[in-house]
Amino acid sequence: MILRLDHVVKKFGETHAVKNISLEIPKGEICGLLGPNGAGKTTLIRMIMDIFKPDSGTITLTSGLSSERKNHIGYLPEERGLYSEVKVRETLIYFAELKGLTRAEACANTDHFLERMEMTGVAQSKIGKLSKGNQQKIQLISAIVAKPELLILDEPFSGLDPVNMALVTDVIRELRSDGVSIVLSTHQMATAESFCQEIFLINKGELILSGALEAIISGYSGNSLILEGSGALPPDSCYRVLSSERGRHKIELLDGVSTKGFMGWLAGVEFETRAIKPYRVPLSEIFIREVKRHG
Amino acid sequence: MKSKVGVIAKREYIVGIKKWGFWLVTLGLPLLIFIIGLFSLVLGVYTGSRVADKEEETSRELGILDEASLLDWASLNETGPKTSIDPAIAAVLEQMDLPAGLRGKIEEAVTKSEWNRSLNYTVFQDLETARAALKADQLRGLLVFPTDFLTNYQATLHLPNEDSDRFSMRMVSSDLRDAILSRKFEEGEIDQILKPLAGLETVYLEKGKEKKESAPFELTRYVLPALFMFIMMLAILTSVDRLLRGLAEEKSNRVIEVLLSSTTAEQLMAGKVLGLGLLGLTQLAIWACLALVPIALLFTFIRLDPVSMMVFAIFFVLGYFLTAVMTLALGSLGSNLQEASQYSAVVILLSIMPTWTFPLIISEPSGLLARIFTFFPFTTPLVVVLRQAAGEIPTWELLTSILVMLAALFLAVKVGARIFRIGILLTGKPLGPRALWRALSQA
Repeated sequence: MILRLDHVVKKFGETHAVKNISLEIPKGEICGLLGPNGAGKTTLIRMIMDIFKPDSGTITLTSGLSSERKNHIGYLPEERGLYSEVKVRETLIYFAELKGLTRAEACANTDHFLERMEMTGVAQSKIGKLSKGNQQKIQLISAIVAKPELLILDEPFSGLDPVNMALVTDVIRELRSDGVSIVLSTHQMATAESFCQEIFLINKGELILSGALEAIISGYSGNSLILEGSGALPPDSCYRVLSSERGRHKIELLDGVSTKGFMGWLAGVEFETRAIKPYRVPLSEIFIREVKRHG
Repeated sequence: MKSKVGVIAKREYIVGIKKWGFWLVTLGLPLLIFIIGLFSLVLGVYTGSRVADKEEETSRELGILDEASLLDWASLNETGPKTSIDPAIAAVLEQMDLPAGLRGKIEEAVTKSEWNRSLNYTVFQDLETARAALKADQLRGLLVFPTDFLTNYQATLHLPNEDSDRFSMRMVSSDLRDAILSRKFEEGEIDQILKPLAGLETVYLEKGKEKKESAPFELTRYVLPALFMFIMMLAILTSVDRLLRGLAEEKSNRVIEVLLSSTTAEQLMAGKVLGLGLLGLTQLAIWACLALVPIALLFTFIRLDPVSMMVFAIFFVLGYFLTAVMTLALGSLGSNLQEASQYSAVVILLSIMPTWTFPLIISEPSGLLARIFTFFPFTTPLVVVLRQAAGEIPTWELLTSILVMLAALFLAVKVGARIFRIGILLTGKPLGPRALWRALSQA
């Protein structure tokens, strides 16, 4: 565990932005911080970054790190925030020094990450002259230049073309391999599914779902199957249909019914089966169902 | 570990000093003042000479028809061109220590223009002859005093036509006044009437400290304090403007959130105020160096008192920090430069209040208004500097005003940091007064 939030609460006037949230960020893993717009994610992130103080509750960084939390956490905000009239290298060195690095360390780290992100050629360019995609890469470098122990990325792929997305993906995976703990806040469920080992789903300031991603998906997927074939699928008490579309049926086996048992029943009915496979409920569907349930 | 305040201050200083706008104001302003001064001097000398030359072509004669027999006009005439200038003007030129050639040209122009402004009286016995001379361009004008002038004081000035140049009647009026008074009073009485307080005797209830030797010229009593006040105001306002612009830029391009992920609001505020304060001091130092050159060369009578210089430096620092902290705090409530300027305008207006009442303060540097401003923190720097340069502030008032400034600064930092912490994250539509008050009270 690298970071723990204990019963954190934050109100703005009459609005409860964060209601009594407790969670632990595991060390060395990528966690997804998910939720609809206005759920309280940004407020939570700002409290983790010590930009806001919680009204009650505590936020604790793992022991072994010095007391100033900000120096150990890198942050990539959703909205780009860079000096447009200042050169790339100068900006990154400044941000690194603000994280407590010496000038020499800041320069060395800056040059290293500029090279890693294939941005050495624009080091002396003014940030305002770069494309949006390159600015996003510079923003990412500013978040990792101090080699933080915990990294919070809010929509890191925003504005990137597929080539740069692949580059950033590699960098994120490298950071994880190096032991950096990462919190990924995104609306792109496919991205979250592909990166995250653990997720925290927030809605209206409350933590409504959390846990290992695979376990959550398995739990939702349960005994769901995709059945493809021709002919009408006769109804039966061993299953219920979730959806049907042009010979493709999404079904859920009812309690007590095994896949083997169902296949045995299927063999005896007038349904020409072409394919049968487990149905993995996508994270986006889980997201929508949970938000609706807690709406 | 490095101080983050130091990192921010260093960045603000370096970025500020690299901007061409900084050098435009720092070097451009003194250069502009120098050029304007030089241009005015050259133009004044040239124009004076031209006017004097033009006047030479025009008659200096003023016709007089004195039916009231007021005085012997002919005896008042100048016998020839003036050979020396007015003693007061001569004293100024002496103190300015100008190069010999330039001084000669100025004296010549002044001499010529002064002599050519004075008029010669030509006395006539009848109106027809006098008017004929006027028509023939032998006279500038014709002044007619009727026999009953001393009863109703009605005289008439005849001029060739409506387009004729007007000329000063100051000398005529002065000569007439002396003549009329000498008819009614003895010579000794006339002096007393014209200067009733010439023999004023001053009695002191208590023996006081010895007065410092006053400056040899009125310039140092009035102009120098005003100059100090102006320079301080300019230095503070330009520094505070840089602060607001930088903050507005960081808010509008969302750098603020990135900065706050590494520093606290208080560290950010302190770094900005310190960095740009040092930039302001740099600007002042450059101006001081540039000012010392003309002072050393031309205005040798100006004595720059080290105590005044120290007072100036102390109050610049205190005044700048107070204004900067409150401007930054209030300005942080705005989403852009325009809003930031509107929110912080009250601080600027309070700071420059002494300039609106400058005539009152300079005429009574120890008066009630000056004293009130001495102890009101926002106006303290300008007024103390002015009073100190004029030699009119007791030591106890000086020390007390420093304490007042320090207390105000302490409070400003406490309150300002709170406002800044809320304000810097505000974006979009500005909060209404109620919502703002709620946000600030919960900070």
